[in-house]
Amino acid sequence: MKNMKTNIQDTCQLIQTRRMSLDFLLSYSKSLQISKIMGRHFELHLN
Amino acid sequence: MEQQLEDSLLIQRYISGDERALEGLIAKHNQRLSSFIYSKVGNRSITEDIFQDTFIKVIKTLRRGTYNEEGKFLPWIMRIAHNLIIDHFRKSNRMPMFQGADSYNIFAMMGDDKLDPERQNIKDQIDLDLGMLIEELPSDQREVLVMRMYKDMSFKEISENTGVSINTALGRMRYALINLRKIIEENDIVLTN
Repeated sequence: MKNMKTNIQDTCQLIQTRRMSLDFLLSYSKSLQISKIMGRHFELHLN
Repeated sequence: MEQQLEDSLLIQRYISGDERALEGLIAKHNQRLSSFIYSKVGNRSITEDIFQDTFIKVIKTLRRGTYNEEGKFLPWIMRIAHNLIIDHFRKSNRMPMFQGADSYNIFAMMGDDKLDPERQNIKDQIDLDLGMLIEELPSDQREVLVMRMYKDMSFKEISENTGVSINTALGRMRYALINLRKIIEENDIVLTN
């Protein structure tokens, strides 16, 4: 039981994702175009 | 309440084309989501990957205009992340990675077929969840599915018991499965073992 607690506490840290990931998501969002044609969604990346 | 209002405002702005609103949403939930993922996977790189995949799903859903969580943004993204974490562990189990070590122990890679208590608990939970999903089906489809899957009856026997043709029984079974999948997808339910 002691070991289990220790293992869990090891990964219970407050962390934040890296700036690189944020930049990736923002550029992904900007490059993503979604159009709906005849009820279907089509994705297009403008990268 | 305030947080939910703020989330929905940011979502509205993002859907209307304001990319900064996305940055705001990510920044707002960054620590909570990252820490949640990290607490499950215990690895920074995998946490980054799952975090990105979570928000890719969020972006796509918002841009498609199919988001309808009615103010519950945080529980929604946590659920997406949770499902992705399960997918990650599923893949890891399918493709086990072996660490290089001086001593190679074949017994470390062998297991018996009997489920350990944790897996048995998961299996029981899945059976329970599945039972509840089956309850949602229309009665004629539920009847055929239960006879086929739980009572192991042939379609001929089902047809005799229900008084419908074999083709009708087959059709009901097919729609029962389609509808089950639909319920699972629409509610983002993950059944895994």
